[in-house]
Amino acid sequence: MKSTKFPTPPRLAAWLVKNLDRYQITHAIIDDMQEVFTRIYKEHGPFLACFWYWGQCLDAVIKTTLFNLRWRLIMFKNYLKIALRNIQKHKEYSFINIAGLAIGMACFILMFLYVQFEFSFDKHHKNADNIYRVIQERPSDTSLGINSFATTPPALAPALMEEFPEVVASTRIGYLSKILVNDNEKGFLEEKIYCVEPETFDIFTIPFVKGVPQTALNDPFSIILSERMAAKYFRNENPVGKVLTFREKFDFKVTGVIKTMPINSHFVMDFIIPFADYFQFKFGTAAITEWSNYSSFYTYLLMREGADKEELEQKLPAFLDKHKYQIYPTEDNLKDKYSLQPLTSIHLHSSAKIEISASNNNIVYIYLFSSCAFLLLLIGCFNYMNMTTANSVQRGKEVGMRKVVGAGKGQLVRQFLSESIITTILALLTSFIIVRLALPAFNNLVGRQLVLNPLENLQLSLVVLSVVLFVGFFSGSYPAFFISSLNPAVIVKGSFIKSSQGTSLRNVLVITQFAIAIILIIGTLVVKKQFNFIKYKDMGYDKEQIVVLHTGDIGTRNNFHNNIETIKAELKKNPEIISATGSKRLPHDITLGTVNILPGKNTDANIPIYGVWGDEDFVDVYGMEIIEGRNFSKDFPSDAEGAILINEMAAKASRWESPIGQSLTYWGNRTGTIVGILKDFHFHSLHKPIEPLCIYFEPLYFDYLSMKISASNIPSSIEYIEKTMKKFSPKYPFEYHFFDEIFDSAYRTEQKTGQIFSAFTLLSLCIACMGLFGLAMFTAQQRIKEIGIRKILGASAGTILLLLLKEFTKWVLIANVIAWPIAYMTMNRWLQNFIYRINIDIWTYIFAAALALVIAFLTVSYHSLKAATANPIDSLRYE
Amino acid sequence: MKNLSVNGQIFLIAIWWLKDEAYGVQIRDKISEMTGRTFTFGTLYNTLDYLAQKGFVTSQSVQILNQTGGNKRVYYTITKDGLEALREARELQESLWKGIYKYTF
Repeated sequence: MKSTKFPTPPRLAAWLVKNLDRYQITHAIIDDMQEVFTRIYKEHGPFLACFWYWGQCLDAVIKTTLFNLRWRLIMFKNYLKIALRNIQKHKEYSFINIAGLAIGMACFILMFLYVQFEFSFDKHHKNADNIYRVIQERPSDTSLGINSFATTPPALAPALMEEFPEVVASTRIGYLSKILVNDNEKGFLEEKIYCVEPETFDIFTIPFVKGVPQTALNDPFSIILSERMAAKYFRNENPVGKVLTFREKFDFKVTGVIKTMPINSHFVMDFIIPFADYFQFKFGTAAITEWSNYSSFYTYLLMREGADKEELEQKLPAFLDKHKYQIYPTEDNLKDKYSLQPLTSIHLHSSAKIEISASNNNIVYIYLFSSCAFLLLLIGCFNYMNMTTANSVQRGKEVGMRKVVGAGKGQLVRQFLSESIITTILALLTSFIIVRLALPAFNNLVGRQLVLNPLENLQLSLVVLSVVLFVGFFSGSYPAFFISSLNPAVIVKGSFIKSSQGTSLRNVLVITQFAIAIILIIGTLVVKKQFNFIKYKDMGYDKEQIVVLHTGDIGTRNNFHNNIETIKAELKKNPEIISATGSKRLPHDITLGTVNILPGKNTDANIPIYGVWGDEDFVDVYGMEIIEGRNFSKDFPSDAEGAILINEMAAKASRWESPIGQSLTYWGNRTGTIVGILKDFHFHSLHKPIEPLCIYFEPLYFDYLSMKISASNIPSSIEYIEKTMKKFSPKYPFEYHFFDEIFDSAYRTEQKTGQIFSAFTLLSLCIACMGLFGLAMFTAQQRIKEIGIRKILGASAGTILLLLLKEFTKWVLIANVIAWPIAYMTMNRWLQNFIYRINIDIWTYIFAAALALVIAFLTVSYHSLKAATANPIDSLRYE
Repeated sequence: MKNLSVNGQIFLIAIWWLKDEAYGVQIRDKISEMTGRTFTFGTLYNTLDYLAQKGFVTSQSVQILNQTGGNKRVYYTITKDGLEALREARELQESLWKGIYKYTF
């Protein structure tokens, strides 16, 4: 009956009001609201009534909350005052607390900025979630270690588009690098040149500043520039209609300008030319309709909204059979496998070879560094917990007083939590200053342009806020619950210090801190040692005093290629230049996977073999050793028809009785005779073992010119080289590098990992030591009477020092026991990445332990010494 | 002296007018009639709480038969202190405005 008589208000709102009503007995707010609700319901209908009811409800919620909070705010003001007084009173404690937390938080914020940036890659494209790249696995090409490739045949993109309705658009992108680009006055070797189809602009979001995306690439030899390149070549002038010359041969007319792509793109295009023009630059590339893997293109797809990626992937084998393997029949297990890679995961998750640009990162490093940052934050929190529980003895009287006066447990917990949140906020402010100061150095280290802008970076402010709350609650929780749960009579007496509860937790925290610090020390040492091992390992070739020039692609056939003999002769006229060689690759990075088959004694043994081409001076310049046979030589005219050097590995793998004099076929139709065997050298990174290699004698096909120069008077030698090169090609820019620099840069990731690790180690040690320092101070204060009595009874300062140090030494030693196995497992895991690696010897551990111990001693001894040498009268006197 | 805010005065006067009928809805309606301002129930009860805390009003909870949708009403009555406060407020007002013509401003 009731329910038919009166309309019911919105249930949730009614429930809210009912629960917020503070004095259920005297208040009749819900009944009153019901009455008015009924009235409005009858007059204006249910919609308005409900609207009114909700409005009243929310208003009541807000007002009641504010009313309730009034007393809390007054109490909070008191807590704030006490907290600030405490911070002022115990300056050393507060400094250690705040500094420790601030360093931890600063690291965390820096790491967050970095991780956020790494995850932001390619998200700026409007269709980012529906763009995929096709990658392929080639079971037939395992010579390069990983057999997953980012490149696909040119015929793939149009065929996919035609066959599958869920593919909305597809494009092929080709990549050219180290191309000489010049306008009338100046020339540069340019890197970021891409040959694309017009569909690229439908798939990716690339805003145009000038020109029309649909028609800009219609004519052959038209080019689109990025804004920064337009500024580089044409300054303020309007670039449209101007001409840029590629390789001093091809004139490209500028038809458009795009906004410079953001650096968080997995490839950044500076020059965009029509796809068909790719074939002007690449030597020996197959036709555009080709299904073979000889030419490298990147295939990007835009899938229809909601289309299933896996569904399409499942259809791909059949699709390939239809198009590719009908023409080129292959055994089933050797067929290529295609898969789709989401655009947004390329930067962090792609492990494909022949990547479109070298900017990719590895998710493992992200995890590694974030966990380090988190550990650091944890150490900072531990400091706080330690210091506060230690300090709580002094607060004991205050807490006891509050309890006696009538503070409930909840109130005390709230007080200590708000105190720790206040400390955390102070630490946060400090950490912002630290981040500001450290950001340039950090940017340099990680190679990014990060900015700290918490007002614009919403994610950052949310994370910072939650870190403050988390750190505040986490580090404040133990002291809060621990102290507030004590019996006031006991605290006021001050006797709970001796209870094992307080000290055992402190010990655990200190041990954990030191364990983390020791793990990081061992990690740093191992990374450093491995890096030095790489740097100073005998690679089998020389790295010093070699100047390297990039002379342009072999397809260029520029003046350098045409006059190589004259250039070399000219260079050698200078006595400082010992020898010069042209080669396709440099000896540290031979990754050309031209697959050859050595027709060995056993004809079944088909082995893949790396191939590179060079001239007769290659071996000399890089100081390699020929252990059998001879080098290429002008004295043997037959060499011009085809000569090959192989390495020991290849000789062994081929199982010829005498490899010299055997012949090999390469490039499909060239044959060469093996004239000598090279001593093995590490021709690719130390992550991989030495594999079979052969060097073909092809003196005209080279990308690099390397020159061995004598150590004296290097600047003048370089000047001479520049002069000589300019004589042959005046427009070609002279950019030289030393080979040892190039070599080091190949291991930049390892180097950076090492640097970041060292920084983390230093900081963690810093924070841990601050904590230890505080604890030492605390212990010395606690035992001041005991020490006084001991001294009176005849103990020497040395004995007392030993007494105090003994405890800390115990902690550090226990920390070592915990840290060693963990460090061993992690670092061993990391070292597995290298085929050539160091063994972690026991000395690394002992050194880390000794270092931790010495630092702990130094930290502790200040206060211990002070306590040990103090006059006992001062410590024992009562009044 | 008992400081009484303008809102407090309005409330007390409304309760005085209502005599025995002074419960939530009525007070709200009366104020709305007197001043043209309609308070939300949140404000209403916060102010009544404040007045009760100061001792200007007392309240009495009454169970009612289910005639209007609610089943409880809280009736408010002005205490002696409340009346005193009202009187003081009025005196203050009058002394404040003494000698100023109505249309001066």
